[in-house]
Amino acid sequence: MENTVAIDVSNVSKIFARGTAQEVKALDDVSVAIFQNEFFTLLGPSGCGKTTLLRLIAGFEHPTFGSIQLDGAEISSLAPYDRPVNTVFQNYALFPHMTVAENIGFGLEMQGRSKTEVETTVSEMLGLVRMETLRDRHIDQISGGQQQRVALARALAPRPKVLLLDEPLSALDLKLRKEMQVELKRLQHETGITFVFVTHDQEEALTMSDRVAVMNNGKILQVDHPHEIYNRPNDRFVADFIGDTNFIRARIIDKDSTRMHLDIGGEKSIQLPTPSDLSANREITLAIRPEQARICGAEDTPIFEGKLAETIYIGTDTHYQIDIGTDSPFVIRVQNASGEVPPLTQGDRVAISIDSAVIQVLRD
Amino acid sequence: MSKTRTHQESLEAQAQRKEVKRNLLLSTPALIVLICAASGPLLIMVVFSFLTSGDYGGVKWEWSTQAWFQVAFYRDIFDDTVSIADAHLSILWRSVRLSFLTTLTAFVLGFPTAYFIATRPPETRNIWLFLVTIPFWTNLLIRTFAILEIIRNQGVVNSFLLMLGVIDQPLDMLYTDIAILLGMTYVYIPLMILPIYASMERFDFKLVEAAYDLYASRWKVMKRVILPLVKPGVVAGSILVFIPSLGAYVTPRVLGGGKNLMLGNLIELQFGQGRNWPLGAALSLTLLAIVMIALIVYVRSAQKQGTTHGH
Ligand SMILES: Nc1ncnc2c1ncn2[C@@H]1O[C@H](COP(=O)(O)OP(=O)(O)OP(=O)(O)O)[C@@H](O)[C@H]1O
Ligand SMILES: [Mg+2]
Repeated sequence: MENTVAIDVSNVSKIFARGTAQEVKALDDVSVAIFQNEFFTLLGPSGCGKTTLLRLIAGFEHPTFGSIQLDGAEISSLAPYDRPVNTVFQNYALFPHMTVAENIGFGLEMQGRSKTEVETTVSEMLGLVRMETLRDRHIDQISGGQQQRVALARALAPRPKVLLLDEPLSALDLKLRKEMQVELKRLQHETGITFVFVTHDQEEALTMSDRVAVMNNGKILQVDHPHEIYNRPNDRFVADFIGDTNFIRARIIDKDSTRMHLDIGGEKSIQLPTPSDLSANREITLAIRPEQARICGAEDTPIFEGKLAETIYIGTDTHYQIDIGTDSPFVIRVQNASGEVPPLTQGDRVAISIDSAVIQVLRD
Repeated sequence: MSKTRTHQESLEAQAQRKEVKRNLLLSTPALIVLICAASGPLLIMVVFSFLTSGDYGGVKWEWSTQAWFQVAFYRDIFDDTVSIADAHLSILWRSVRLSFLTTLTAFVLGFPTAYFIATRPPETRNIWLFLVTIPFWTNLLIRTFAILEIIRNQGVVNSFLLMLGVIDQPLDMLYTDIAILLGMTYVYIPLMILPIYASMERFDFKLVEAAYDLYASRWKVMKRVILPLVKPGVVAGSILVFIPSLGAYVTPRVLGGGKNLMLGNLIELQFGQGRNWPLGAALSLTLLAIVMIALIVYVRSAQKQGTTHGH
């Protein structure tokens, strides 16, 4: 994928009810570049500003500060109908007085395309979302999943440069949702249109996206490929929000150019490669994924020791909760099929080993 | 398999029949009132319209089609020549025209008002609705006289314009068709605003965003999305304004003076000074027929627009 920038959001802030008591800073100095042809996901908890950012790109709102460019041209002051950007709304917002085909053709018609062009594109779109047989149904005569497809087809029909999708799958049941995830990926592939997808479901974000932006409190915390987001979170919130993470407070005792020596409490210390910008005596947080820690075998050197507090069997995996003297227990996840499931009982002393390469250093 | 199916169908039919029965039973009292209160007088009017007028009002029980003849024609008392009853026809025409214009004006002014109210935050909507209904608190006659006070030659508008020096002669607004139009629009506009508002309140304004997003201009959004979806309200409002306008009596009487009669006044005249009850009855039935024809034409065309829309 060549990385040409499609949408360039720079230093955008959006403040609602500015200057009143109800002032809300929905977006706080957000900058992000979305590439052409990519499946880009905005991920974050409720109220973090995902919809606001999407609405700014669509043109329903205008930024309080900052600029938004599409293919190098400033668009932040344009009306929605002047932007080659279409939206799939959360509740679809299909026109209830029109048929499936009329809904899909609406954008084309408004663009002043000829009748035959509208006809052929509508048929093509119906084929793309596999809805040919329902073209003359009214919107209230089709199911939620089918409405979802119509909403997609309607937004794709005018061939926008960017398609915005605001939690389009959240109203669907789990099975349909999985189906539509695959479908969306396929559509993005076949059309080659840039997708900007909003979700608060981390699994959905990781499985579908080329890149993910994790948001919280009106800020973008990290933008990266899913595996980087998962394996190299650069912020405590990101590590916590995506997947399960063990956090350990640590203090830098001393350091040289390549390694630093950390105090992790209880007279224990470890050595890690040094990030350049950390000074001695600083407090940091270490993040460790539960599946990346191991219960010590004979050949390992233990990093922590603790007492087994609980064993939880969840089918594919077993979770060991180990009390290491911190606020919350340290969790280790072991795949049951791996054959490395140690026969431990509650209260046993357990030694934990962690490969220093998988320890993430978070500065707070 | 087929046996269970027919069994099911008959169960469904039974359930439906039961429901129809129950609904009919529930609506019986209302139906009885309607039949007695609407059909009874109507029947009397039909009978009266085929009788002869009494010398001092009332009717003589002699069969005659004279009244119906008089609705549209005029027979000279001296030479018996028959001519078209211009007076009646011009009153009829004025009634239809003014009612139509009233409906149109009420729509043009009422639609944006309803839109405005429906797009306010929910807390403040009730205040606006309340303001719209305030005119209903006073008697129609008083409201009409208030308008008279405003537009007469020495009234508020003229005094103000004279004072500003915009005009040096008072504008003759009172006792014109314009005065009647103004009065009727004022009186009936809430009946336009309220049903349109009721439709708009249920309208999902996300659809407007969706339409903008799909390159629709403001005008297209109005024409293709908002209007079709609030049409039931517009149809109801138009009917609610048009029908009472057509039969309006007080407003044309006060604001039109004696000279600009409408159908309501003409009918009243026949039962009063005119002492021609059969003609009054025939005119009333004519009014009824006009209303029905207008309704049928209007609702038909509204439906047709609905079904052919966008094809
Ligand atoms: N029109 C508005 N007026 C005032 N505040 C608003 C407006 N729209 C959004 N907000 C506020 O801005 C913040 C961000 O809202 P936004 O809708 O972008 O969140 P979100 O990330 O989409 O959340 P969700 O996952 O729940 O949809 C919220 O605190 C919200 O209350
Ligand atoms: Mg949202």
